[in-house]
Amino acid sequence: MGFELQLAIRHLRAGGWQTVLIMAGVAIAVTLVIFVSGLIYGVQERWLGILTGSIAHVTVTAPEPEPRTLAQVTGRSEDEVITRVERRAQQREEIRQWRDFNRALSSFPHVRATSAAVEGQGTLTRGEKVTGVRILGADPDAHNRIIRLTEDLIDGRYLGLATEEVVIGYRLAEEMGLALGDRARITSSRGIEQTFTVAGIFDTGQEGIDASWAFVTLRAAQRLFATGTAVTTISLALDDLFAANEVADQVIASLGLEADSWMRENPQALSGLRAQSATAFLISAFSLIAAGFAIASVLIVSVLKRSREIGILKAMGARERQILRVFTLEGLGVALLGATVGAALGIALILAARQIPQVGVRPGQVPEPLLPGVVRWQTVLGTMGAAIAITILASVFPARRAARLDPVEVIRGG
Amino acid sequence: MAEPIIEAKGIRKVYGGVEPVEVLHGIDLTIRAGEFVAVVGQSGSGKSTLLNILGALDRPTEGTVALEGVPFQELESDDLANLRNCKIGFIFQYHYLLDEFTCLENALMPILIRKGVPDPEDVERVTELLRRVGLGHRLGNRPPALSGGEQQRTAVVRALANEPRLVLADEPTGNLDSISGKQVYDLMRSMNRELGIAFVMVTHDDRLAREADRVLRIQDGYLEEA
Repeated sequence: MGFELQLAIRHLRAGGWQTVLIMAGVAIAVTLVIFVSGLIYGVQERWLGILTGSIAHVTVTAPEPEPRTLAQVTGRSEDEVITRVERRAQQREEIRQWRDFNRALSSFPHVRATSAAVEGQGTLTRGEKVTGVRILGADPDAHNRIIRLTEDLIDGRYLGLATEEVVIGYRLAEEMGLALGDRARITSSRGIEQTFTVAGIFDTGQEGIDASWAFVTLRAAQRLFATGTAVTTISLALDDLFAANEVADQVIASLGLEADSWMRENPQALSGLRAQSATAFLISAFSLIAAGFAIASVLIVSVLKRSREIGILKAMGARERQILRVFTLEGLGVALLGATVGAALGIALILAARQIPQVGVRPGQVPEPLLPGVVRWQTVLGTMGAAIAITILASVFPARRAARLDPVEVIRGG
Repeated sequence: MAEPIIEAKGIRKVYGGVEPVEVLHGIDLTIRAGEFVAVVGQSGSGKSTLLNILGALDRPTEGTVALEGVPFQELESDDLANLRNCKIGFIFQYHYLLDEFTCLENALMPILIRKGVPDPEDVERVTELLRRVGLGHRLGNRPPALSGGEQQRTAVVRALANEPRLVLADEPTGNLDSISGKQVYDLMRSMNRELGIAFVMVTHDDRLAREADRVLRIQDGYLEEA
């Protein structure tokens, strides 16, 4: 290998600007791939964080009883009775042995946290103003492990919430003119009302939640909806976001409860994510293939330029595979250096882009980066690996051409 | 009589195509150890073709060539490459030195091809040869910095680097002025005498040819003693 390596290194050094240009080609392709996919993944991560950070990954509810038809009740044949099945008005069934279910759910694979809650509709009244709210009562400690509300708090607290305290979104607070310590009345859809003190205000980044959700304790919600000690939902947080469907199906199959996953509730979001990933993949593939063609063409020119030298080396006893190795090593050298420089540049660009802050944030809010790129090592290494593989592939054709040169032809030609 | 180094029997060479041309018509040739043989003939008479066949660079259409009793036709391409590397030295009309390597590295090229890294003894031997041909002060220079004569002398040392039994030289002085040409010829002749290496030199220069031990003439595809 010593001879081949020496020759390849000398060729590359002698190549001067040509070598620099071809390496720059590989480096730019690798930079582009790492930067673009880093940005796309970063945007996806932020978006997924906003989307799933403030909702449960899987929501478990009691199965809705199917209305029984007259035929079923009387035991008559379906041909004798005319039936029209009408679903009951929206009303959550209750989960009574929720502590048992909670324990069972905790042992499911991928389940990171569980939280039992009572959820329902109601109104929030302050003076003359009335607005509809979605009430969620849960143990703050347990529920914070599901939606991390404390991270979204811009004022006050959520943990240690008392039964007469409520935490609301900043949009709802603005609309109702509420501030920390103010009091407001909540009336549930069951007609039960209670006065709460605003203990915290949050901003999840999701309009729907910020404008209409009100978080209270489990005890308070049980009283508002008169569920006694029962709950209406058990929320699950998973360690793998994309296992949500699988976990939901398992819950349905093994516990006989209803379960909905965030993925099924947000199909557009999922198809958006897939389209983004496909775009990133296509951009990457085309950049690398273009770099491959550039390398192949430069190496072919190099082989043509050196055909006499190759002929003479073969006359002196160089074997075909030695010549093949020389040009493959040249390709590999270009690929390794280009890919390393490209990866370093790509990472530097992502980190630099993160320094640009978002404009137009609310006063007091820490501005998030405008381009939230992430450096994923599997992407960096994968891109470098792909660039190296493509470069070697691109060098195989010129290298084989070189290896097969007939020394007599080229010496006679000279 | 010294032992034969290379023996060619009934060599015919036909170049294909629509109208095949037979360049060599059944040539028999034996070169013995330590011989210095000149091959002369008109352009296109087949001198270089014969040399390429003797050097295992080209295969004859018919006939056999054997180096030290080993017939070429029984060898695979890797074995032929190995044979060219260890047993035969080549000198061409043009030096074909590699510009990216120094004078010493170029002269060491057959050893680099075989071993990757030359042994200190190889470096010492080749350096000594370069000194003897007056290139002791040029060891670290690249070919573009050498004169035509210096370049060709480096190419001669390169052909001798692996201590071959046979050197095939195709018009080695063809590109040089008469003084440089004579220097290169004298160098080959002294290596032939001192190291006992057999030389086959194709040349157009009748004066140089007359100084050889034996002169062979190729005419109309036949070989005859001149």
